Amino acid sequence: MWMTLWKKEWQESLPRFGIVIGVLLLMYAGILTAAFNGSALALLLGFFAVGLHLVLLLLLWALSFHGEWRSRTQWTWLNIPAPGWQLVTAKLAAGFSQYVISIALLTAVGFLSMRIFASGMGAQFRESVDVMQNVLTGFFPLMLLALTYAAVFLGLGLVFIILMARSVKKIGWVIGLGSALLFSYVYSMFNQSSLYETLFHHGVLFDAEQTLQNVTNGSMNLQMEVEQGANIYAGQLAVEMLLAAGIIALLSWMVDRFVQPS
Amino acid sequence: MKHIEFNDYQPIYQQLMDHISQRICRGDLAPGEKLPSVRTMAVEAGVNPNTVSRTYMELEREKIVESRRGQGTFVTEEKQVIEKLRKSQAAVQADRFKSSMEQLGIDKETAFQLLNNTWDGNGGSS
Amino acid sequence: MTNVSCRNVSKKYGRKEALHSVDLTLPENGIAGIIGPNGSGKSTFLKLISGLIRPDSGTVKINGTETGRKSGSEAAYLSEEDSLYDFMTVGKTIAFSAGVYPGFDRELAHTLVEEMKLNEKDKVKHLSRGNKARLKLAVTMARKTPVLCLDEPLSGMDPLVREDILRLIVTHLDVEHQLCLITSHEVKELEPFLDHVLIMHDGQVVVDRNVEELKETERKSLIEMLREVTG
Repeated sequence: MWMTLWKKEWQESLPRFGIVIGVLLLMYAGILTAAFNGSALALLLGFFAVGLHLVLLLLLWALSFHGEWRSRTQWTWLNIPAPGWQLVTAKLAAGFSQYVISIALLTAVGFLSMRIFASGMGAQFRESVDVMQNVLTGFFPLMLLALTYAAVFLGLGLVFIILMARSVKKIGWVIGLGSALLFSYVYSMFNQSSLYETLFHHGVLFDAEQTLQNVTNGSMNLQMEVEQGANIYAGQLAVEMLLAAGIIALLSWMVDRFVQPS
Repeated sequence: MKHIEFNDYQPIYQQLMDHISQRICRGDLAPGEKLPSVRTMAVEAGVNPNTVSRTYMELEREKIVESRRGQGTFVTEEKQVIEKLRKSQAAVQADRFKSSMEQLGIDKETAFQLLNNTWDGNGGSS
Repeated sequence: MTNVSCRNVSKKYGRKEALHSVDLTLPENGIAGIIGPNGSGKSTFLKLISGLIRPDSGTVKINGTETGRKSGSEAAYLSEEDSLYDFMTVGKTIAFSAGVYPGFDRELAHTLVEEMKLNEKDKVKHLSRGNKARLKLAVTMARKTPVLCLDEPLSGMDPLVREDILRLIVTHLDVEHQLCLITSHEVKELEPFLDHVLIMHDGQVVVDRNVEELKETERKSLIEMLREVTG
């Protein structure tokens, strides 16, 4: 059952994913050209591409859920006798896999353009460019995780709002938006609390300070205060993943109990 | 597919019974001939299959048809039954004729005369 | 045999009451027509039985289990709207249905589609309105659920399509085991196909009877009955 749903979600979303990839490829062509010409425009476009990925999941997921109503297929979708979590996760997984593909492409283009950029530089800049490249490589896991974390929770938040709008007539989206904002505010307070730290900052997976020293070989005197938050802990990763799972369970429960097709 | 025109005041199974009875009397459905399956008849007549089942059951009760296990429903081969059916169908029509005439305020004699004229092809309506 | 029961079921949309305290047990099998003026609650009634919406009060049960989001295995709902996935072909629609509906009769679906001269390679997007209706019904019939809820399957269809739809139901519904609920405005056309009729008015079921029995005692057509009870 799940495989059929997943396949359907993939096929359904393929045209819009195609458009996204098309736009991105144009942008990447621009980045690579700029890098080849040694233009700083490459960096700007690069930031823009990363920014797009921040809202990519949100876009793909929202269109997928909202799309059932727009195409009037919600009658069919909600009459499928699969448990809600299957309906929900099939959509989420299809979008997420497209996100992963897109991120892989972005990563490849990112490193490639950096190499092109570096090779075009004069010798006097060679050293600092090398360091920058090392920093980027070293911090890649952290950046990837932070980006994905933000993208996933933004996306889940919007799906929650969409399902709320379908559960409560007229004011559902207001309630959804309000409670999502309130929750994220309260959770971010908790996130920065010492309780959170004592509970979940265990098992260092990524040590930001160590990484910085490694990539600069200690030669560069970067007076950089590495915040606690820049580290990644196994405990933290586990609890955040648990939170995502909890939100997905909530979405599934909403589909099973409250969402109305009309 | 040409559905039967049903009237509003009679249950459909009765109308369908009449319809099939008439076809049997006319020889449209010969003695011993197999009736269409319930579904086929339902599609042909444009009615519910349950109605056809009931019609076949009622026809069987009156011995006009008989069902053979696993083979279907067949028109009876007993000539007397068909003859009796013909008479009773005719009686029904006669009844109807009588009540129609009565409703028009036509007496027995005039009605007979009209019937005679129609029968001889002198035209009843003018 | 299927037991569908409604106990004091009420449903509101905003302030408007769509169903008011409906309390009945549906016939176990056969074809039941649900007729009544616009806004009398026909569609709401079907959606409640197929578990797509939930009552504000009261309970709807199929074989003792309250209906809900997963009632699709018991009650197939056919929407009045074009609820097929546009991007699929006719063949893909059947394959998808076979994947998500337990007990889906794939062979039957292919047969029906062929009978109605639909090309499996055609995209749903490019089908005519009538052909979309044909495909929708073929898929719904092939689900073989104990209860079928057909919401206005005839409305807005030309006579050829209506005939096809009624023929499909008569030919492939297992009238001894399945219960088929049909809402319709085409009362006269539907009448000979019905075992049972529910007449709805202002959110209530005002007539709930066997059609043959109704005719035997009242000697009236359903349209006349409808006119009488809804004034």
